[in-house]
Amino acid sequence: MLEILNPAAVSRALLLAYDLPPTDERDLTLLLNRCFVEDLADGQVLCREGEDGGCMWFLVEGELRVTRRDFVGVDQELGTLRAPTMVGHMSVVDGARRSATCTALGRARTGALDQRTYDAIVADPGSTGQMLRTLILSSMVQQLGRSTARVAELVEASARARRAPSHAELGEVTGTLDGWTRRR
Amino acid sequence: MPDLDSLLALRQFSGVPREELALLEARGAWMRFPAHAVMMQQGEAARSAYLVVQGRLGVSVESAGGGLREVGDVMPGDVVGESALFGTGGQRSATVRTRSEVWALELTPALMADLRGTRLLVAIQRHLMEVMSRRLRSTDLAIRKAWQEQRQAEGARKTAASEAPTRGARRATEPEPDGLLSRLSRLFGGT
Repeated sequence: MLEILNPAAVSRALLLAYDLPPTDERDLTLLLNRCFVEDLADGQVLCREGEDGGCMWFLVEGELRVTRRDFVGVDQELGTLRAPTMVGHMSVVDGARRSATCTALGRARTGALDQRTYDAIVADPGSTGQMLRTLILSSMVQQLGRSTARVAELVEASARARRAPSHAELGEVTGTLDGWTRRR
Repeated sequence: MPDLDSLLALRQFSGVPREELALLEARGAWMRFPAHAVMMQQGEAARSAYLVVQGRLGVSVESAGGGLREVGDVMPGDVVGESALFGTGGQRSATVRTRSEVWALELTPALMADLRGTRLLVAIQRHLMEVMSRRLRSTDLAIRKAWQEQRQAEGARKTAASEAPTRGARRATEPEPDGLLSRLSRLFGGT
């Protein structure tokens, strides 16, 4: 069971983050309780780019630094994931390898769902399965919407300036697809 | 007009009990669209999605210059307009036109709520997850490729500028070579 300070508050915050009604709080708390705890120390890697998936996480406390390797093998920092949020859920949906490396910034706590548990819950017509599918779908809709809007802005600005989008600007857009934001 | 057997034949619904599909057939509104008609228009409010049961459609995006660009196809079993089922719905991000006569079932947030607890809803949602996952991955791939290309290009420009300053470095306001910006424009429907 995932022990976190104030699970109801985490559930409410997660629902808000994914634009879901607060009435689903109980179902989300039940889903979180199906997770096993993975605590991370500062600098500990949660997942590495290119590795097999097979697990997703709910980041319930702390932050993760997100990096991707460029074409010459240098890690480029793309942004930060802040609790509460889902991490790594795309790979349990489609089986693809990890698209980035996530490293704890300070101590962090996650609730992990392995592939087997995910497969069982996602196929469940009951409220826990409904909650998981709704969360993932809401996340995907947000990710697509954000990235589409951001690229459209970038294309328009670049066309006005009569230049191609910069490497830094494009790097930021790759972040929007996976839901992370620049650290302020 | 399609019937329950048409729904049973869809790949996305294999394993869904017949009685649940009968519920969908009874509660959902059957919509018929003639060939070459607009099913949904880019920019209009998104209030419902459609499960296509018969027929084929094309998806296009309108660019700022007013041109239409084809971005995909819709086949029987696909769901279109899915953003209407989440959050506040927003606006249609693309125009969907029929290529043949199309029969579809209208899916609304209220209908989806009625289907809670059914294997049918699981099937619809899992189909949406697969479709959106593919879209996210292909979009990510295109942007990452552009990201890497731009890094190479910037690196090459810096090298050229430092090696031959008297010949003049590339001006930041020179028109972008046909390639990166055009490809991104095509991907996202810009000019």
